[in-house]
Amino acid sequence: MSDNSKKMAVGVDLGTSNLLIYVEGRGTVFNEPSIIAIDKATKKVVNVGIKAANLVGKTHEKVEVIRPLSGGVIADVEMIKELLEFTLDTIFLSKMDNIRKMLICIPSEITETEKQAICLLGHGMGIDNVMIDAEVKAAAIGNGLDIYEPRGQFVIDIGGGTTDFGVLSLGEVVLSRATKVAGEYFDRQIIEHVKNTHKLEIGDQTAEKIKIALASIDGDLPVDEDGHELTYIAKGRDQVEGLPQQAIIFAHEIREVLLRCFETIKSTLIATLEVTPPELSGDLVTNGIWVSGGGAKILGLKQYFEAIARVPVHISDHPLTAVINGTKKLLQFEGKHYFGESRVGMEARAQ
Amino acid sequence: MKKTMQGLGIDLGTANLLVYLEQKGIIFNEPSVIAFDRESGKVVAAGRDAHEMLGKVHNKILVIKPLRHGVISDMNAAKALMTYVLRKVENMTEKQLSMTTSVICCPSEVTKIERDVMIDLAKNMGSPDVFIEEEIKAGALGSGVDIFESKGLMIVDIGGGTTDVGVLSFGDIVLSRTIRMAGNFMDDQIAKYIKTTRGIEIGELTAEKCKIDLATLKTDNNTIENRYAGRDIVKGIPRWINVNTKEVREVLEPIFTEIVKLISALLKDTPPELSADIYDRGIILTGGGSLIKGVAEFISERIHIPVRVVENPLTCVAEGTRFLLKNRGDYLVNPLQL
Repeated sequence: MSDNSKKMAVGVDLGTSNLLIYVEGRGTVFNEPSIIAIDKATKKVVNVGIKAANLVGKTHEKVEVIRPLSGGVIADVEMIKELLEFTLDTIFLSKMDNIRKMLICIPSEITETEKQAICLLGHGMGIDNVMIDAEVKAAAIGNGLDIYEPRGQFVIDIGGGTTDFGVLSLGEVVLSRATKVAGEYFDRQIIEHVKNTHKLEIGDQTAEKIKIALASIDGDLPVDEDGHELTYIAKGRDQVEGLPQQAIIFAHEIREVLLRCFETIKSTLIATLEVTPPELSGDLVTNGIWVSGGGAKILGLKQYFEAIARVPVHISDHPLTAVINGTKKLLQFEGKHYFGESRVGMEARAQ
Repeated sequence: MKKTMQGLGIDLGTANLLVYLEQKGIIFNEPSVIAFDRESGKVVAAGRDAHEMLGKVHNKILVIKPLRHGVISDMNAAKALMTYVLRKVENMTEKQLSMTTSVICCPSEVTKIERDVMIDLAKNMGSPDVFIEEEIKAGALGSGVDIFESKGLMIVDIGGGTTDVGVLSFGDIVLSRTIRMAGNFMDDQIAKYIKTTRGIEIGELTAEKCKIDLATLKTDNNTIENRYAGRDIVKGIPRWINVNTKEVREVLEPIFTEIVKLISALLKDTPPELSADIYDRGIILTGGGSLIKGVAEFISERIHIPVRVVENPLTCVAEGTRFLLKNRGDYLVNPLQL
């Protein structure tokens, strides 16, 4: 056995909200928020992942909590490197040079310079073979779609920082669009809403919890066991008196907030469909649209998108892990995009 | 010892490429489409596989139809297609190719320059001995008609890029005319019709499929309806639409009226002695366009001459090259008797 075969292939879903790492032969080994906490004085990493996420909005001034991928862009390359190195270290308990190749999935609307920066980052960590691929592509594969056929597939990935729309055919992204209206944006809108209507200031973590508990966009409102509309008791600081206070948030309020947010998603979806080549557009009537990412957990999304696009909409079974599952296959293919070479000629076909 | 040259007959049509190899028969019959990887310039697919990619590719793959209106418009692509096919299907090396005599068929009304391009193609492939023959001549031979008699015969070849009409006698073409209204033009017209009447944009492949499914010129038969998918030009969303045979007929009729006009114009110019022969023997129809239902009746109703569709409209040109390879297109030598 060559020395190379001992080394590992690693897939990384570098999402705004969550960082997922897949290791060939070991499966998905890390799935935690992509948040890093560092000591301001020593610049040392204090915590990453869930432990760092728990610190959001709760730290003293000696520790800084950073989301290095804020807004779906590479906000802080140094911090991303720290984050990756720290997590990989905890997983492997060994040196970086054990990694043979690494595939990093990024939002499709990222610029060439940012791609270069990520490539360099990988090289800086001592990995020679760094591949970059679009999240929508990995998500499509993770949803179990055969994207290597000459047939159009449409994928929506509602992530933390961006919502990505992609049309795929022959193993590659034909066209893609993105909007910054995604998970983080929903949270901010919920904070705004609670502030304006309940005069209560809440933190990011609370806003996210409200969203997870109550989010729905179409159909019946979510109800509890007794048939009453679902509510969430949000705790924060009263704006007028400045005292800790709580307020009851109803599911219909969150629906209104989300409906406003989804106006942008709706128009981007239509804009993407408008520029889809007619032949691929025709395939969508049967293939439909696949939704993945954390946003896919919003109730009633299927009906909502079906009413807009009038094609079947499928919600991913594993919305949060679709991308990382896709990297598994992509690592094997190494970015090849067509597999039909051997099928040519009548005779060859008949046999 | 004299080298024996192997004959290679090529029907490089706008829609389909057919290759005939002596002693082997027709070795390739697929759409003349080729797909390249843009970065490496390598061939990704050819023939049917590449055809399926039309209108469906991302910007890493380039899909090319090397022919337009019956002539080569992209030399590199045409060469790549030919060499790829020969290597894939028959494992032909350059050395083997240097021992071949090739005949390439082209529409009758192409210029000297366009013919030279065809010769260059074969030379580029490595085949040293090339000659060019007209598709209608090969088509007539391939459908089993003896064109070497001193008897007039009219042949209409409705292909992908061009419709060719010719009068043959004594082993060669007496007169011929070409128009650029054929299969591809029909597809375009169908797509245009659906866009204007329904507000749905459909792709090249879908338009072709629609034509193959629904094209008919018969007025009495029941209307068949089929559904096709495209993109709504107002809302931008994908949508199904129903198209029926009647609508397709409406689109096709003006095109075939033009073809009938061309036939009658040619008949007017035909020397009277040959006219008499054509009146007896009728007109033969070849090419993919002759597969449209009712086309023979449509033409014969309008010019009052019997019209018949050959048995092998799609492959007759390639089959005809078998005979042309024997006599190198010499009208004095009848290959049917060799």
